[in-house]
Parts: sequence; structure tokens; C-alpha cells
Amino acid sequence: MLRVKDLDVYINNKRIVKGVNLEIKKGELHVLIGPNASGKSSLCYAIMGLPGYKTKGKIILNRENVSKKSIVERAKKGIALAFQHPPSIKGVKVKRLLEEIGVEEGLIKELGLERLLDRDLNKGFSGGEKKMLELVQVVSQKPRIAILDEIDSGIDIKRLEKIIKIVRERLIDRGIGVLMVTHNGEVINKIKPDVVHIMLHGKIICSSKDWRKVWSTIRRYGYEKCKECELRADK
Amino acid sequence: MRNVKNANYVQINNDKTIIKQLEGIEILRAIDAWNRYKWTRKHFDEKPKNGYFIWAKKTGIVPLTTCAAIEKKGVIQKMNNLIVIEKGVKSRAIGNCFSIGKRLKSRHEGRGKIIIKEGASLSVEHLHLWGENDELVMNYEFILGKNARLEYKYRCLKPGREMKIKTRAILGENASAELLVITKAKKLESSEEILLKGKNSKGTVKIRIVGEKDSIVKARTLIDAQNEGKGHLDCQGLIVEKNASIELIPVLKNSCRKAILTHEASIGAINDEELAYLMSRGIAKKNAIKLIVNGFLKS
Repeated sequence: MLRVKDLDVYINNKRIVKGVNLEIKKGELHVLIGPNASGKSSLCYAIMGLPGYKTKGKIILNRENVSKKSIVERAKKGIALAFQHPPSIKGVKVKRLLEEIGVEEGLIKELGLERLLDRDLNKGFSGGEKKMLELVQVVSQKPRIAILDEIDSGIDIKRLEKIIKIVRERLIDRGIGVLMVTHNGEVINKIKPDVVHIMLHGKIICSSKDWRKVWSTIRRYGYEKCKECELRADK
Repeated sequence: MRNVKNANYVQINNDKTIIKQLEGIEILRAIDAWNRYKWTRKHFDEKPKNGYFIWAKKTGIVPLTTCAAIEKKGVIQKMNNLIVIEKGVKSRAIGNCFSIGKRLKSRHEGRGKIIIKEGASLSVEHLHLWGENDELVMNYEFILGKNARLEYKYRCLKPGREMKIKTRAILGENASAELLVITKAKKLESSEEILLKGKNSKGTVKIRIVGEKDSIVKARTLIDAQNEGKGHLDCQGLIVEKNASIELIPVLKNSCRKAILTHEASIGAINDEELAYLMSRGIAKKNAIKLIVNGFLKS
């Protein structure tokens, strides 16, 4: 469904993401982990086509190379991104934006976000409210691939469970491929991904189905140990 | 245009006038008021030819609606208006001014005086829609008595080729006024002023101006404290297209050491991050800009 081939991402001519290869099939959940500033978010934004993220390599969605397509085209073809730091937009009401996207029925109520509908988008929202609203938008876009950039950060345990439930029921179970960036081992344990990828210094250095082993190694030795690991992708 | 069919005063071009009276309010053509009530003459700059006289004597439930329409090419529509709100009366008014047709090359000249007497209040929504070749000159003065209240909202989302807007409010003791000007602009000169004349008067001027393609905007706002009181200016401009220029001039003038005057002003372009965010939701660039602009105008 989504194939990223030899992808380099440049910000201000500096190579941030280096030769990344990734393949996410229908209904698969991939988790991307790595230390801060390893290039995880840059990879996400580049796949979405945000301005300022120049790419070399291919981003293939359903056999079509979308790497030269605009953000809107990519969104319409089925890529949706939950932003790590979504902007607040003065005067644009949540309700108005959701009308534009076409909000999925019952989702607002399920997440208890009714009170946000008449407020300016993300203005004065708590971290948790922002993340929930990002998820609402991504689900409502009915994508083929959902990229969730730290959707779990700053979330309390109760909300985290709700988020995981929605990711499972409204994305993965519907055959939507998910790429989830997280720092949280608890999330990995709960969500049980199909594949976990480790990103270090702009490279995916490990991709493994054995997420339990990967996570316990990282927890014990930190990311630096990954450089020596036998699972390394570039070995 | 909403409320036009049921408007209490309708003027089409300069020749047709329709009046529907409203309980507790006397509505006349300005010239008829000039002839009938001599006391009104001091409030007109000259003998009026067109325009209305509205005298609110009792608090009404329904808002009063006026409508000035231009439907002929090249018409210079002149309105010379006088509104008087009697002591303690609470009033709401909606004023619609517009041209029917995109290229009429018409001109609307609206001027008037609004007197809000002691303890009275007035809430006005003033809506304008113009064709791309129309011109507008507007000059309104509000005089507020002791404890009087004014809430004035001017909104123009279809601007004419050239617009000159002037709004001035003079506040008596303990009076308060909020002036809000929301407009898209091509060539615009605007001036919004509040004079804090009476003790403990309060005034706020808020402007939101969107500069479209090739627009030239000069917007001056002033709060002049001549007595103890509070005033605030909130001026924001948004440049949407290339070659647009906006000049905001907020002026605070204080002749009373007990008065507190503050201001905030900013002019910016559309934020790329906000635009990209909306576009990532599959919203076309044009619509995303529209959402941001409308949001700015409502903020």
C-alpha cells in the first residue's frame, strides 16, 4: 500500500533522513521509534509532502509514485497525518473544519470532544485534546495510510486507551495501514505492532516483527545498542 | 441580502423611498424631519436631500432595519442620516448598503449623526456589499450621553474599488463604546476614533482588515482621553495576496493622567504552517485560504 524507497529528506539543503526504505501493507501497524532528532517526524512530514521537506527517492502509494504530488493530492489519494504539534488557527472553529473534512459519525461523542466544537482550532487546548482532535481528523479523512506522529505524547492513561482502541477499530480493522511514531514502550506493548522500526541519525537501522525483543533491548541498553544488534537492517 | 424585504427604511438610488414604521420608533425621510422638527436641523450639516431620520422613543423587541441599494449605473447615492435614541431606550439596528450588479460604477456617500442619550443603548450591525467598480465614502459620528452604550459593527466582505470610512464616537460620563470594523479592502482609507470626554468612559476600537490583490490600505485608529477613562485599540491586518500593502496607524492620545490607554497592532501574511495543515486535510489551497481569512475576520 505505502512503499518508501531510498528516501532522503532535506531541510534547508541538510540531509536529515537518509535512504529510508519502508513498506506498509493494508491493515498493518508499523511503529517507528528512535531518540529525539533522529528524523522520525521529518520522515512523516516528507511522506505527507509538507513544504520545506525536499525529498529524493520514491514515495509509492498503491503503485503510484506520489513523491511529486502536492499535499492536497496526497491527502486526496489517501495519506493522512496526525501532527505532533498541530497549529492553532485563530477564528477557525473546530466544527467548521470538521464540516469541511466530513467528520466520522459518533467519533466526537466517543472521545468526549463536544465542548471543543465551537472553539478556535487548537487554541488553548490541552495536549490531550489536541491529540484526540488530530485522531478525529485522520479517521474522518478515511485514508489508506494514517501517519500518527506521537499521537500518544502528553496523554493520560484513560485517553491513551481510547486512542489505542480507535486506532485498532477505526483504522487497522478497516484495512488502513498505520505508521505510528512513539517514544512510549507502554503503547508498543498495548498496541502490538506488526513491525517496529528503529530510526537513528536519519536511518532506519532496524525493522523487526519481534517488537517485544526490540523494545526490551532498547529499554535495557538504550538506542546505542541497536548499532551492534544482529537485527540491523543495513547489516 | 437579509432583512431587506422587511426593512423599515429602504432607499433605492436617490429616488425611491419605502418606510415601514416600527412600534415605539418614528421613521421619516431626513428632509421630512428637517421640515417637521426644527430641533433636528442643528444635527444636519446641511438641508438633507436623501437619507433617514430615526427617533427611538421606546425600547423595541425587533431590530430596526435600514437598506440603501444602488441599482443604476453611475448613480451617486447620498444619504444624510440622523438617529436619536431617547433616554434609557435600548435599540438594535441593522443597516444594509449595497449595489445590485457588479460593474455599476456607482458611489455611495453615507454620513450621519447618531445621538444616544443618557442611559440609552444602541447595537448596530452595518453591512456593506459593493461591486468591484463602486466607490464608498462614509462618515458617521456617535454622541453618547451619560451612561450610554454603543456597540457598532461594520462589516464589508465585498469591497468597492475605493473606500473612505470614518467613524467617530464621543463619550459622555460613564459611557462605553465598542467600534468594530471588519473589511476586505482594495483601496481603503479608514479612520476610527473614540473620544473619552466624560469621566469613567470606556472605549475599544477593533479593526480587522484583509488586503487583497494590489490593495492599498491606510487605517488610522485613535483613542483620545480627555478625562479619566479606559481605552484600547486592537488593530490587525492580514495580507492575502501579492502587492498588497496595509498601513495601520494606532494613535493613543492622553490628556488626563488618570486615563489608561493600551493598544495592540499586527500585520501579517497567511501563516504557511496553518495553510499546509489545512491542505493536509485535503482542503484545496483556495478553500484553505478562505477558511483562514474568514477565521481572521471573525477573531
